[in-house]
Amino acid sequence: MAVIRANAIDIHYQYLGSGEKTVVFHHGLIMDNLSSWYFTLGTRVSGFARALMYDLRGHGKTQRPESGYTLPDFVADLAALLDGLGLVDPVYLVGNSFGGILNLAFALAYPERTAGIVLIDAHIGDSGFAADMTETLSLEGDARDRAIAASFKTWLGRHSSRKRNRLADNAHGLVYGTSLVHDIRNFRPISEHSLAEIACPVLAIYGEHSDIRDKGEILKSLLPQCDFRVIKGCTHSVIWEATEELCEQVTRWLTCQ
Amino acid sequence: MIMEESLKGNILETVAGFIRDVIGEDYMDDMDIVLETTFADDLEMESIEIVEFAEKIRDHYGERVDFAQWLSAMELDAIIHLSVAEVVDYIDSCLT
Repeated sequence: MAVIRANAIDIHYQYLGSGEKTVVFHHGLIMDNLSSWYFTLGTRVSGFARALMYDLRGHGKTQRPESGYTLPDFVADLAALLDGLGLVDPVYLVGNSFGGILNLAFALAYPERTAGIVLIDAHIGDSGFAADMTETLSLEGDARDRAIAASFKTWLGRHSSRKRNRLADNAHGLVYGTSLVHDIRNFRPISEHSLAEIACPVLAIYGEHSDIRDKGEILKSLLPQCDFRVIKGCTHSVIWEATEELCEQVTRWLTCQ
Repeated sequence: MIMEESLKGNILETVAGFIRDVIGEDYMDDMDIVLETTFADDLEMESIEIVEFAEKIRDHYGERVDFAQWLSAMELDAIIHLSVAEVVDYIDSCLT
């Protein structure tokens, strides 16, 4: 298993393909990991670029430290990962849901290392994000587990009926065994003023019926270069509801850059 | 014919070994891995475990077997119901 020590944790990553461009993928929060990309967009992108997928801290096969789940921690992880892998040229960032916030925060912290951003039904890190997440994560016991499961749909995890569901176990450990909930509750929003400073190309794809579609519209109003698109009939789970269309649109956009 | 069966037998042995490595013996519950075994229904493998399995396949067989590409072309339902036999047949087709 490919693991690298970066920012004082062991990060599980996967490379697919090769090429001059590097595209880094960020999955969603809690019930998600790099596998969401591995058999979908990651493989497609590997046909013309180097696709780098990794499990965020506390997720998948990456180490789960007890603390350090603020946005700057996730940004520092990516910077250290790129350094560790010797990736010095600017990279493209693709992010789903929470992964989109990470893309935006990284682009603001390291504009010289960000070639472009793809957001897939992404949160944008405004005050609404912290409020929504806090509401979900403030529930207790089974109610919290149900809310998390409903909010963070995953691929095979949705279909597994076994009692010993390791994905759920991991999510449980992340929510109850780390500072994640505390850190999200104290999330420092990214201001619209800051977002407006992002200068790289941005593709923002949202589901027509997504409850956060307005985030894409906000981005479009702040960033003239933002290519904002809506996929009909989809909710927040665009990545699963319109996988093929999404792959086509994103790969076409990336190859044109 | 005998050689073909032998190759498939070797592939099955290799694949079964990788599955045991990924899942861990503690979770196997004495389950035999045979051609009819399915990844999701029988083994209840999570998607991140299938990634780990794919990495082992790539490391072992090299670029001749592009397991990730093969899976990415499948519909979700097909992956859910994927059997060991299908994987063995696919690897066999790449090697012969």
